[in-house]
Amino acid sequence: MPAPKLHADHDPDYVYVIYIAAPPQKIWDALTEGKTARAWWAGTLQDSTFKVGEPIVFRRNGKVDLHGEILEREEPNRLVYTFHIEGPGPAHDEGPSIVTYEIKPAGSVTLLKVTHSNFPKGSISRQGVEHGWPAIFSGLKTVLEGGAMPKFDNWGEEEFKSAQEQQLREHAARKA
Amino acid sequence: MSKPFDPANPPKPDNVVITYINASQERVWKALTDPAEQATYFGGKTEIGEQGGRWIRHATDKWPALTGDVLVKEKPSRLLVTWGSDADPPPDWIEFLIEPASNGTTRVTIREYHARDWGEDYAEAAEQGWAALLAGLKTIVETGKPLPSPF
Repeated sequence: MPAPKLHADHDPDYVYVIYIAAPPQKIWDALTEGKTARAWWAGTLQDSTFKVGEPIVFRRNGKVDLHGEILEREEPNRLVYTFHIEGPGPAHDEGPSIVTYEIKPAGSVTLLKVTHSNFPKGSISRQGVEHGWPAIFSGLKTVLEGGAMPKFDNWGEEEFKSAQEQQLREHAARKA
Repeated sequence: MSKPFDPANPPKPDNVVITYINASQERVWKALTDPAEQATYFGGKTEIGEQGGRWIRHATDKWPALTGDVLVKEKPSRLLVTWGSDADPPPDWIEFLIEPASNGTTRVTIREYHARDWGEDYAEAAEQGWAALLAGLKTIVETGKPLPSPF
C-alpha cells in the first residue's frame, strides 16, 4: 500500500485526550486486541496483526467500514495507522487520514491521546470522527475501569447515525 | 478585549470537549454540582450558587482559586458560567451541556468561549485540564471511586 498522500492545505488535526485508571499495557492491549474491541467500538471488529506495514480492516455489521495500514508501532506507547473510509462516497474520496495513539503514564493513571490528522480542507470525514471518537474512547474507559457498559453492540450508534446524516446534509448543501 | 456574549445565542465555541457517561442525566448533574463529588475530580472544594449568583472553587496547596458568575443553571441539562481568577482577567465563558444519548447514556459537552486570544501553550493545558475533569466525572459516576489526579 502506498504512503498516504499528505494534504498541503488541510483542516486542523482532531485531538481527543482521555485519562484512564489502567496501566499503559492494558490500554495498548485493548486497542490492539481485535476481537473484543467491538465492546467499546460501537460493534466494530478490528482485524490486524498490528505490525508495521500490515493492513488493518474495521468491520461493522459484517461490512467493511474502513481500512488502513499500520505505520508505526511502539508497544505500549504509540501506534500510528492510516484510516481510509470505504467507498463509494465523498468521505472515501478524501483518501487516507492518519490516526496516532499516544499512551503515557500521568500520575498514577494513564493518558491516552488520539490525534487524527491529514484531513483535506473542508473535510467531511473529520466531522464524522469528531462525533465518533468521544463515544468510542468513552466506551474504552468504561470497560477498562470495570464500569457497567450499556448494550455493547450499539454504544454510540445514534451518534454515528446522526453524524452521518449531518455529513450527508452538509455535503448536499455544499453541492447545491 | 471583551466580546459581547449572549447566553441565549452563544457564538461558535473556541473549544469543544465531549465524553459519554453510562448514567442518567440527573446522576451526572448531581456529580457535576455536588461539592463532595466535585472535590474528587476538580482539585478542590467547589460551591455553585443559583442562577445569577457566583461560583467558586476554593484554593488548595496545589491549585489557585477559580471563580465566576453563574449565568445559566438549568437542572439537569445546562450550566453556563464565567470562569477565571483574580490574577487572570477577563474571564472566559464555559458551558456544560448534559444531554441524553443512546442506550441510556449521557453526553457531557464542555464548550469554551474565549474572551481573548490565548497563546499556543494554552491549547495543550486546556486539552488536558478538561480531559481530566471529564475523566474524573465519568469515573466517579460509573465506578463510585475517584480517579486519582493525573497531574
